[in-house]
Amino acid sequence: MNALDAGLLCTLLLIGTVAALLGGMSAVRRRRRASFALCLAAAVPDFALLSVLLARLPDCETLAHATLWTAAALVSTVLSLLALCLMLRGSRHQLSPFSIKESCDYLPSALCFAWENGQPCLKNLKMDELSHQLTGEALLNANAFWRAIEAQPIVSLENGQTWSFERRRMEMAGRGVYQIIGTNITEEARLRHALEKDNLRLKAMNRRLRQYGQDVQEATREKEILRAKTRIHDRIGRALLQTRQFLSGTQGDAEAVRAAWRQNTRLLLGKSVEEQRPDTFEQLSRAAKAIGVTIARSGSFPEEGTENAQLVEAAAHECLTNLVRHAGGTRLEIFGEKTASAWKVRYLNDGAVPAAPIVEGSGLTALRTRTEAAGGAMEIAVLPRFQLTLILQRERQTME
Amino acid sequence: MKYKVMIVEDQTMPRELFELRVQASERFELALSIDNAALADVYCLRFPVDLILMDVITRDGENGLDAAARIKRAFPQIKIIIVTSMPECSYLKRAKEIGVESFWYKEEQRESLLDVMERTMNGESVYPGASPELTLGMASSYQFTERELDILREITSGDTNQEIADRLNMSVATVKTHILNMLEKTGFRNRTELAVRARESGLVILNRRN
Repeated sequence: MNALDAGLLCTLLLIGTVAALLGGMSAVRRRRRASFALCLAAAVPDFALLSVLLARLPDCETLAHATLWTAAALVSTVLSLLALCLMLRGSRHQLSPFSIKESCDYLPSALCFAWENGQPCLKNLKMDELSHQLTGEALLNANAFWRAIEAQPIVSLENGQTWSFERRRMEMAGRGVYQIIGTNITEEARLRHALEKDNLRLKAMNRRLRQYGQDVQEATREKEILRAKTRIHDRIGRALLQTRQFLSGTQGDAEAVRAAWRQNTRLLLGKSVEEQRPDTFEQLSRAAKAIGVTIARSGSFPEEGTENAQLVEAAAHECLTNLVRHAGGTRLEIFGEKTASAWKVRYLNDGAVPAAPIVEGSGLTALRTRTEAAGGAMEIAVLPRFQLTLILQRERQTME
Repeated sequence: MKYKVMIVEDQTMPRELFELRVQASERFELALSIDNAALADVYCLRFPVDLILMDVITRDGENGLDAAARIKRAFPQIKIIIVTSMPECSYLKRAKEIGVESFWYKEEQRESLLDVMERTMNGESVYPGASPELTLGMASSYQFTERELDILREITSGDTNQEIADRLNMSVATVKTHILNMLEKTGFRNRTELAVRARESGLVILNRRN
């Protein structure tokens, strides 16, 4: 074997050895023992032949069987290259810790897995970048990072982005692992902000719509009054014409003219005394007086217009009608009391004591239903005289 | 014998015009005239009344139909005529359900009030064939279904679809479908326009007080 052949064989064997070693390293990275053994097995003949050849290199002419050496070197190298190709081909279909890390780095989200003591076992570049922006340093301890953002896990960055973080505990190989994920919710935050603004606008519009409804109702009533005024105007016009005809002696009689003016005068007077309406209780008192019943009220009562006030008035109304219809009384007494948490209103009358237990009719039943729906209670006692008591929650009124 | 009439109307001038009509009649006399529907049944306890002219909506949001229902329960012999200038389509139906004898539209009806009172006291039930026809955009008020009108009434409150659905015991999708149908019929662009126009026309009136 001449020096050139020996050199070529050395190169060939060196290529085989390197290929087998690369394959072996790849197997180690992917933790595949069988593949590692295969690569090692392929590397050993290459290395052995190379060692022998190198040891004999200065006097390579003494080496016999050049063809045999060549064949052995070729087979060994091909085997090593084959092992490397197989490893490379296999690596395309298998995950390694490095490929996981690499793919994590490409994720648009920020990701970190850490042991319970906070030491990260996997994190991506985005998480480090966000950690820098939020805490001023790379994420070295996941627990410290989480403590920094825990109070407000949705953060807005100086660059205008909004990120949402969440942490979850999970088990891995019997050990506790925390997963921290950061998601870019800039678009969602923008949309939510826009939605909140729209909702506020919508609420304002609905308020205006409600007010508009009331205004329209009032306008309809005003129109009705205007039509009545027009009719009165026509009546006065007719009365004037009638008077003129009577005075000129054309037609008509004094009594008809007087009647027309009496009616018109009354209408005009009525118009001028557009009364100041009394409150609801005063109206009820007047109605009661008109039918011969006196309503006496003392103590504290809910403010007019509130739901509680409406219930108190409804109960007074019911007690008044029942007093006249069933008990033949002439006096209704109402005592109101304000406690720390409730209104207590008692209704007593001077009517006949019911001979039998009171069976609640539709009026009392409806009152009880309304009272209970408002969170209150209604009690009825018969002796020594009829007494209805309403207990109404004050909180409800305050909320309104 | 003259029939005794109670007038329940909160506006002074219309009320006095009613009073004049009653007083000018030979068959009727004015027993009482009040402005609050809620107290009508109280007055009925002492004042003998044969007929009540009851406005639908009196001041403070009192509903004459609710008052009529109370009176009909306590005094079924008293006849009631509902008088209103509001074309709200549900009033007619509710009045019939309560058992009110007659119904008279203040401005629309050709028949005079005295004729209706006379016929009512003669045992007739005098109702207009339908509520006045109104135009809402491209649609006639008669083109809306009862359910659509229920939803239209709620829309005027300014509530959301969810709130309307909860109140009417239906799904939000159904509410939306009805609103879309109404928008298609009327040609209005959105629900706000629909609500505003409906409220202006008086086709629907929301009264949550009771």
